[in-house]
Amino acid sequence: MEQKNRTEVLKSRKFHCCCKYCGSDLELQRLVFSEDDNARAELYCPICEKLEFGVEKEIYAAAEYFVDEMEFQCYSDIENIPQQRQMTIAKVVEIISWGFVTLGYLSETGFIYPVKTLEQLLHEWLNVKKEDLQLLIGE
Amino acid sequence: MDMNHLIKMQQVSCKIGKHYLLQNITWQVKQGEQWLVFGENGSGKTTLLSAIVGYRNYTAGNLSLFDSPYDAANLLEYRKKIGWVSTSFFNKILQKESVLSIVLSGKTGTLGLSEYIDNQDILRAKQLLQVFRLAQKKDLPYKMLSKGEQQNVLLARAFFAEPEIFLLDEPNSGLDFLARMQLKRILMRMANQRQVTFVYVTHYPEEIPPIFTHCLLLKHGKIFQQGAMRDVFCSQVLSEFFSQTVEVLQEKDYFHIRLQEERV
Repeated sequence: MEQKNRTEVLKSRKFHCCCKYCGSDLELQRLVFSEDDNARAELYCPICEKLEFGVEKEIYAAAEYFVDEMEFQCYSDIENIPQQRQMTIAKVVEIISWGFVTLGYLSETGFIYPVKTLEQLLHEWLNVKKEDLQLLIGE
Repeated sequence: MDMNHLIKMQQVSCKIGKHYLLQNITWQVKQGEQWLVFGENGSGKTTLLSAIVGYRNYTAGNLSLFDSPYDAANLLEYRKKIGWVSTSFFNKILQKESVLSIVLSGKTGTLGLSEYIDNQDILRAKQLLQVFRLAQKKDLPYKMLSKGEQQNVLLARAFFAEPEIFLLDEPNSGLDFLARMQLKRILMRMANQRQVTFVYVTHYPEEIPPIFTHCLLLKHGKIFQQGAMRDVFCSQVLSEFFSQTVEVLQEKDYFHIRLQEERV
């Protein structure tokens, strides 16, 4: 990311992203004594009280649904149930985001549209044609 | 053009109200030099480093980094080349952030992340956490760590981007014996290989590894003296600096400053 765009990217993420732990809206805070926004501004979750890069709201909603409906949890050693749920959602958010970023569907500025397939991943894909599908379903 | 000056300050001052935190600092750090910045509490050491990495404004003078004028347009690019460790600064900001995310922020030199990180970044961060004995604590919030562990998180963050210059603000603070020895070994190896330049701030002579070529003495926000290590960090100059007679002793791996009254 070019430096001149950093503050703009953070401003934009403030609107299309939320906290990956609690789903709250993020704030753009000036944290240090500096005249330059690039040097002093960071995204911050006022509920969790921490610096937070955020995640697309759609991804958070999907992760929250998955964790609650599938009763998924990956921090069984944490006794505090709400915290366990938050951290599990955050972990699922990380996994979904990682997948999207790796496939080239997501960047810090948001979802990439139109979808552009990453060439280097093509050899790992299985292309199923219409004829293959018909064969599979026995038509 | 070969890079020569990593840091060049000319008459730099930093003022809050009528109070000078730094006053008329003229100082140059060249590539390959290893600087010790020594001073008492409140002498402006941390402010000096904060101004260099752009976390505090200087109010007068000129500052250039990597032979280029310092300005907002290149600030973040500079930060990637500077590994900054300062618990006194970061502890005011970092609280609940996870250890892993703090180390990853070393990629951009920012306080928080500002771009998605890739797989290589995560692997590198985990390797560094292994080196600094924090692998099991990567998901813990910063404030839950001990002081020494926090120091190690910041060291791992500083090492992340393989910077050209390290600004170390009392890096031994809070470290246990083994961690201090490990840090000393790392610094000595890197300094001997001339890979990087160190600016090392401390007010404890016992912490000073024998790698420094130059010394800057700060007192009340002003430069008291600067120059070659052997000319500045000596009994005569430090006696003037402390306004009482002291004796500087150099053992194999560390310095010791003794008040004359200690003699029997």
